Amino acid sequence: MAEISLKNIEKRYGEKTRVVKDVSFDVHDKEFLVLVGPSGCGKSTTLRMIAGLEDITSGELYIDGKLVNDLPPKDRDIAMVFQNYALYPHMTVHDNMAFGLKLRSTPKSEINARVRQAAKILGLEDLLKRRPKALSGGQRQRVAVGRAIVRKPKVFLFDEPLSNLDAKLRVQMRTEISRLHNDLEATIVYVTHDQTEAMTMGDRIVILRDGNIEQIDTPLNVYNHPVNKFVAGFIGSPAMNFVEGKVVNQDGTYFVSSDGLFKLILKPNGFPHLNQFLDRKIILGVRPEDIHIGGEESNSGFTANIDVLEPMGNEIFVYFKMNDEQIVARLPSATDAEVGGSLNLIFDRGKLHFFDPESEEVIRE
Amino acid sequence: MKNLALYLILVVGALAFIYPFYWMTMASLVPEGDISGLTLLPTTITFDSYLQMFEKIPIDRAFFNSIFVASSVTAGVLVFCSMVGYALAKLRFTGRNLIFYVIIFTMTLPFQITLIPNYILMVKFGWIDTYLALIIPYLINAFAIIMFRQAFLTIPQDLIDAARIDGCGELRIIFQILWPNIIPSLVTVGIITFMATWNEVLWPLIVIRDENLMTMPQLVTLFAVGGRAESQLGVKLASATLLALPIIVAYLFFQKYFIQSMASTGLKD
Repeated sequence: MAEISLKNIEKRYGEKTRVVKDVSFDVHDKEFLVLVGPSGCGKSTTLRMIAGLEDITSGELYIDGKLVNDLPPKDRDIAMVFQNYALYPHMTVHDNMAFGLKLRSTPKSEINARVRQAAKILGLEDLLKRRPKALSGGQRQRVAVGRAIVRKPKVFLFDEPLSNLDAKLRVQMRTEISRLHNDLEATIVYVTHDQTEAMTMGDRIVILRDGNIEQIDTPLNVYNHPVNKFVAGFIGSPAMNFVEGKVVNQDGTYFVSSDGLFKLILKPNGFPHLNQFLDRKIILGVRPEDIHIGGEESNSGFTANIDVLEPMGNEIFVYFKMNDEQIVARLPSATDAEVGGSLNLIFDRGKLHFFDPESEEVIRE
Repeated sequence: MKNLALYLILVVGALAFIYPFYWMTMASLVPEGDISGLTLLPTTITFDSYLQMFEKIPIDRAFFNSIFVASSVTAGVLVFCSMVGYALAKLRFTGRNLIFYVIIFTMTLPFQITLIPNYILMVKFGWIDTYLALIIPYLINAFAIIMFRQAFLTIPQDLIDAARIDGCGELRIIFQILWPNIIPSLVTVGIITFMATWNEVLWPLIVIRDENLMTMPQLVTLFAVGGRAESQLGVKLASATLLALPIIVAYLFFQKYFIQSMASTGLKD
């Protein structure tokens, strides 16, 4: 059993700089929780407070029901994997993994057994006598993970562990860490700025901005039901498209883009929750994969003048302008499109998101 | 051609530095009468000057004293100054920069200014004519602190955090995790401290009067200029040669690290 509970956690440097603002959430036993957000959002600071590497200015932190605010890192029964691996350069791979156990006076036979087991899981058996300098980036990261798992801690903390690896290795390590989570049944808190990692690895995602929690939910719920424009734009790649416009009543209710060139019929098919925004500004959000080919103007289809094409092999990203803002559509690779040409496109009306331009909150049905 | 000129200058420079040492060593090995005529190679070799020196002064005891004092000071400086350097480089506390600037400021004070207050302190502590007077005042110095601070600044914070999570306290972090990664700095500070302590004359002259506690440079100075050498140049040179020997040997052993540390500008792979 290992549960973490953050209650109204704050981190301030001096009087004015609030890095983490009144953050509360729980990490359940055996859960893989991902903290994600742009640089400077406070995600690493939050993780370091859980680790005990940063003091908590106010609030309470519980691990397994025990208040640990003032407990030093070594007494919290946690292990951490760092972005730049943080291996001890003067020790061999074996000693790096064994060091934490030695300090805890674990019997030598058990240390060796645990190190060997971890090395086997991570494919490091042939490298145990090497120093970190003689390892590749991926191998170093594996050693760092090994150092964490030999300790059999209650909680694993990962601080952007994959961001120093190249793209291919990152994908590989991503699946390895997910597999480890399943095998070890460990409680993991994982910090990343990469929304792909967050989506693919997490049981739940916590999205942070400027020290505040924006949303906590499962990856799919965050993706399909973002609570505000920030979350909608942050999760998903390419990001969600936003079109500013107005809700107007002209023989039916329409969304009309600010430049007046795009018109989408809202009624009679639904969207009663938008009535309150009649003749007011509103932001429409649509994901690139929810833009399709076809559609007549009468049915809210529109003609897009193609600015840029990005063929990805299995699909093609088509960029065009709406309201002078760039919009991207994710279309099948067989789409007959060329730069400077045009395409008839339509938004999937069942998958539109609407945001209040003032609060940027989603407008709920 | 350019290289040839460069090497020529280097060779001339090297010879200019080596020759006085060479001459001193050779002159200590020839009979007293031959010294004035010595230029390069001696005609007869004798250890008379050394034997006479051993008869006249307790140089072996002074050698031990010097080794003991210089080693104690060096060990103390490595331990204490690395602790201060670590605190200044890696711990966050109010007044950290102020303390650092004060430490730098102490470097601008010449030794002569603090000489009298230090002496009075030694008298008050009752340390005159003890090893304590030779060792304790030298255990912390600004140069070593700055060297260690700079060395620790190049070490990533994550390494220290990882050690903390593994269960290290601050002292273990310094001596078990950081020390092995700053060996060139340790060697440099070690050699410089050892040399400076070894060569110190003025301070021992002031606080030590008991011949059995005198360091080599002190004894040799008193011997050479104090009249007991009876104007015999060979004996004086023999004592000077013996004085220089340990430092040269130490340098030869550690020169690799020494040059490495002096050449590195904080770059780390």
